[in-house]
Amino acid sequence: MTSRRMEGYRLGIDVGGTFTDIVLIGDDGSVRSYKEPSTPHDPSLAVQVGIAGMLDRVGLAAEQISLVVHGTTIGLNTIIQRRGARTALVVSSGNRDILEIARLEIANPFDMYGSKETPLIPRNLVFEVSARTRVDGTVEGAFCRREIDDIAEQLREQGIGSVAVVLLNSYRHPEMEEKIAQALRDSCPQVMVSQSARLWPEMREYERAMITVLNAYIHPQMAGYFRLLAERLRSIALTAPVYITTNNGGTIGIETARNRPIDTILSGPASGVVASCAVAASCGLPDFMSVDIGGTSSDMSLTVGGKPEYSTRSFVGDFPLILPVVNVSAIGAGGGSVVWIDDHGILKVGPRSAGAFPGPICYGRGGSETTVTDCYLVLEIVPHDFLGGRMTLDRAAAVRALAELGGRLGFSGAQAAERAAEAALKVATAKMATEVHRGAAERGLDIRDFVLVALGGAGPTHATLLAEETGIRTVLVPTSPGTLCAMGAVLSDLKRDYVRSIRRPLVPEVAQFFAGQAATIEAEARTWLAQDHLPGIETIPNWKAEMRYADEGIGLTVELPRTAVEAIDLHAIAQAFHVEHERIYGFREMEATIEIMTLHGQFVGSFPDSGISAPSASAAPPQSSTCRDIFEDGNWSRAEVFAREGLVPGAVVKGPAIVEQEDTTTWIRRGWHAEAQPSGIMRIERD
Amino acid sequence: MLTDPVTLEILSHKFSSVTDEIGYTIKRIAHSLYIREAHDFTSALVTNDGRVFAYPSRIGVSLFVDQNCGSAIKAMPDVQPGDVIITNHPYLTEGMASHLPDLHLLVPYFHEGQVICYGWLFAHFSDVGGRVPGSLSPSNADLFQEGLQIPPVKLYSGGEFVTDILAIINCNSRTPSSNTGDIRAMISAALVAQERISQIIARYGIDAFLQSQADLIQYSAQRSRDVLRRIPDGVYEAWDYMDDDLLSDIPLRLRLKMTVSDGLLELDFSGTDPQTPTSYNIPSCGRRSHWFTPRLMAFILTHDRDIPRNSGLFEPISVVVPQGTVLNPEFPAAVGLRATAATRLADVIQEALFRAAPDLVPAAPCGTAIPIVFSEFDAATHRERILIVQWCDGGSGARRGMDGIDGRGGSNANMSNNPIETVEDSASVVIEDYALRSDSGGPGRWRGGVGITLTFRVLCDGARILARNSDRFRFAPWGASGGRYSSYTRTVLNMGTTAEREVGKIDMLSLNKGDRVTVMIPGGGGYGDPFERNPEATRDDVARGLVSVEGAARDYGVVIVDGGIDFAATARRRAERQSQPAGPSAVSYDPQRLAWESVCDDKTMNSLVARLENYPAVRRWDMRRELFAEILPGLQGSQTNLTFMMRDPEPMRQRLRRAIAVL
Repeated sequence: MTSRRMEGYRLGIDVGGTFTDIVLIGDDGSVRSYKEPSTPHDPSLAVQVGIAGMLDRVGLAAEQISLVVHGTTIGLNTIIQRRGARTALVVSSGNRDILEIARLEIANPFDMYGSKETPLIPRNLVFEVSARTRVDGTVEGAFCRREIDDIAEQLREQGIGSVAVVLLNSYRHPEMEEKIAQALRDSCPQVMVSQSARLWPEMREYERAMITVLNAYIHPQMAGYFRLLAERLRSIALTAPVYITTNNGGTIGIETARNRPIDTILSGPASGVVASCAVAASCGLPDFMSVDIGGTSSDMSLTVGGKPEYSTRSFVGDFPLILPVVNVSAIGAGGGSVVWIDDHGILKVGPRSAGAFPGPICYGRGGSETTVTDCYLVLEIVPHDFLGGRMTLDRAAAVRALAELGGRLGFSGAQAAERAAEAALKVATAKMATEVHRGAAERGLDIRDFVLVALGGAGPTHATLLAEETGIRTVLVPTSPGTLCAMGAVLSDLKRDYVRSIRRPLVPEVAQFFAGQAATIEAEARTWLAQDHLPGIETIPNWKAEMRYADEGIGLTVELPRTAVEAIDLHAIAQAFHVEHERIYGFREMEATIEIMTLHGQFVGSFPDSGISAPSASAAPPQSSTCRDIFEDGNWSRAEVFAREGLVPGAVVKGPAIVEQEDTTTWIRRGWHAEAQPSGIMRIERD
Repeated sequence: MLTDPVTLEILSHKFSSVTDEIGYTIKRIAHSLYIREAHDFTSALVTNDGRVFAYPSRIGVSLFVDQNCGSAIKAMPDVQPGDVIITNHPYLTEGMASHLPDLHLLVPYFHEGQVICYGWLFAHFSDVGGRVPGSLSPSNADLFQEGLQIPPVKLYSGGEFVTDILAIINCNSRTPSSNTGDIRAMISAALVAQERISQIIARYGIDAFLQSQADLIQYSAQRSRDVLRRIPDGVYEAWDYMDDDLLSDIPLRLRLKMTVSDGLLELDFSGTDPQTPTSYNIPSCGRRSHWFTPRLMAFILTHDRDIPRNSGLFEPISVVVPQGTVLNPEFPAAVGLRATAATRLADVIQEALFRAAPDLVPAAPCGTAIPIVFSEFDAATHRERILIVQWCDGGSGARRGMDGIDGRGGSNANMSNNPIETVEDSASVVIEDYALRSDSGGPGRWRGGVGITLTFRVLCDGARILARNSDRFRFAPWGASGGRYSSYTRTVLNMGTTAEREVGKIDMLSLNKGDRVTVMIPGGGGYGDPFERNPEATRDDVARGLVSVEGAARDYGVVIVDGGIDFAATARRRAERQSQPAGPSAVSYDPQRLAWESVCDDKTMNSLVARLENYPAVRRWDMRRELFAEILPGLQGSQTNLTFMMRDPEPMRQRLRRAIAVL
């Protein structure tokens, strides 16, 4: 990170389903945030209106904005709701069932009523071409003009807006795929073409096809959205460069995003983790678990040494994704999860959710199923007016429902509802803790060494419960846990990933091949940077390789020193692998042949430091508090209640206590105390 | 149940989490591919009498919930903290270990000096000695050819390795170093669990810890029985065949009589064929083996998906398994490929369930999953290079209201296939076609899922392929409720050329440059009368290439012209059909099976098995082989056309009955 400050103001924008969040950062590091109701039928409208409104309120001219970073889940929602373009697929002969057969797996082999995912492209819109490239580059069967003409005619007849081209072995020999894609572009200029080797030239045709198909599926819609967004920003005289957040916790230029919308689909959670990194770093805590508890579910992400963890085995709806994404995994119940009792009298939480509508019983919108949120309310953890007073909650209805559940659990008397609510929160916490322990065991980590960064509307509410259950001693609550994605967007670096499948033994004879592959990555990165680069930003390549001993099955991803790649120092590359193998598996085999499977290059350019500072302390009103009784550990006890904005840096709050703010409520349980940090972050520790 | 309903739910999650942690730890630090890639291992927590009360939800083999560690625990009554028991013996553990490469560990967990439960862990090891590398071969004739037999002994005593035992194990393995690494990984994982268990006891108390074990099993048993009560009381019979047992060409029959009474099931396997001198036997020692119940577990979990996985699921199920049969072989019968017989047994159990509750159970799945193993000589290393060209799976059976799954879901194994690009980069082959196999799903109002066809061309001389364990060449998966049987497995050399040859069941096949091999896997059976299928659905099947135009007319009575339905012709064709509607629990078998049973009917075969029971188990197989050689001398290989051979069944059947009577 460079310490140079950027001239002018930066805007971070996150388009969500309900709200479009906008964060404005001044060149003095000051932060202002704003929520505009989203306009799902035309999402960039809310962006335009929101920015215009914000500039107006702050009294800024559009020319004073020097950078816009924008995040959106439109691509993801398009896939999940299956609202994408009518898409076709072109493959090598004999490979037409690639989407039907996939990798043979089905979600639950023990479900006699199970089914497989419905492919995004039906079998009759998959076309084969007879030219077939072998792994050594030999082409069997020639390029055939007539085939292309036939396919083009079908595309027109069927009203296809987007086509994916995925030929076998194109990860190494992309020429035929290029030729066929170009021929299709020439024949059908109205059809958008996605090519597998251009998007992600990694061996494994099904996974590469999924990237290409998903890209093609959202391509017309996303390209249209980005075009309209750019137009609307210009219409309010905003001429700053526009960047789009990506799955890997970085950003790319809007022009690049128009051709590779696949890179943006999982950017929302990634931005949350990027923002958490900044939160934890400002407290000097590099190892943390961020927990985002929302309405229907909870997610977690583990970060070691301040660097987000990447996964190349994630899922988008039903489909696998091998692009590197910031690793976020579900850990179960959210605020809307339903609390119920099964036929045998056992208390259950989830997996069903009451959703946003009708929502929990206490919302009074016709919801009849008790939820986790109802439990918080019955225990008096959350205030009766929600979202800064925009919504009033019906505690009496929640008490009635939980008293009835409590009766069936054998609780009687005046506190039946409270005891049932507390039991349900215990079950929900046990389920989350179970998933957290699984995640830690998978990585060989001890979760007690981590701090918990609480995100989402219910994250800070549930954080000390989950910390107690998992043995975590420190919880961090960011200033604005509900709008962290927009903040994460502004904090994201310029970043793109590249890949090459190598699959060669690490011996001197392959040095030249290896060097050639690294050089093609660098060339591709230069082309990208020429387009997306902001002047004056230095870009650094980070190299990684997936390697294995020749007799092993799964490769291990190892960071390679930059010098080792640039000088093709095979010894240093081998050494990096031996060391990592010993760290992970406890042994190394010095005599064994090492195979280098895949080379990854990530190019990162840091935007100048935003120098974000605390909301100025002097502006804060003096600390004040009220009291209310909350039900904790089987008893009613008196808790102090604070307004978040009233907590000046250095203020200490002893549990049991409640801290309220517009986007969340923080529950500080007995045995914990919180201290407001100069950065505005609330740090909660065990006594 | 004595545990309160909140604590029980919490402990259920905690226990399952402990078993997942054991699993992840093994996977992270183990050495061998079986563990790290194939996930052929698992772990569970078991009660002091050997019943599983917690099982992992995310990792490892999901098939072995019905594991019983009682005999192995009883064999080692004197255990101290820091002891670990090891065994792989199928007969001494009464089927807990079911073939020798699976090494099992039992780890006693203590609280204040008392054993409070055990950890059970197993992993498939690369090699435990025996006749062939990897220890497994269908042609292993007895257990001694299958490798080192380890009775329950202490591998770890008072926290120290018993190095003598480890030395014997390593001395008998072709891969000693990876075995040692895997054993160490398993022990490290088991120790993690002791710490977790102590934490749970510290928080919830020893009484709750002990009581909840029994209560969780009881809770699952109640929920399981509630599902099984949906099966009407009665007696239901079903049988099915493996094509042969490798050494003889006689179909091998597995037979079941299932008696249902108020959610209690008795599985009586009387009438099942004698044990074989090949390795297809399932060692059960007459008890309920975990290889008998996976399809029942699927049935139970289909109708109540969140029941905690523990031995309670199977409490309502009891078995009768005559000794000396494929399902209860006598020591030292070989057992290495018991999974092949278990695949067919699952179809038998599914058929009995279907006959009992036709609305709740699908038609048969493809019933075979074939790894095509390719071997070539590598000139650079002067060694044979071996890899799996492809795992071939077929379709699943249709059920009421839903077509079967196309090209997937035919087995519970849930293995992944190999990318074509990886295979072509590793072996001298070109995969020319890897596609859904049209017309291979059983016709039905709901169509059976279609199977898969794989064609590859060999680019070198002197290559070989092996496709052992393959089945369903002779008898096809059955259809249900008026739905029809699906199709046969086929293997063809140089299809579509003058040199085309039907290969049949492949043990080993030599191939040279330019040879093309095609493997076709069946689909699943159909459900309901195909002439009642919505013509639009059939038109879509034709458009997607899953049913041919001819198949649509022949099997569904749907006439397709230029991609559209000819409604008038379809109505005529459907009206012309003269057959009786099938009953709801009707099962449709293929012509080969009907021909076979026109001679070898149930009654006759039952009488043969009963006669053979008068002789020692080791003699039965030979006597049966000699009998068939005399009566049915034409029975050779899976290519034998049974409908032709048995075109005049009655005299054959009479001869067979006379021969049986004088046994």
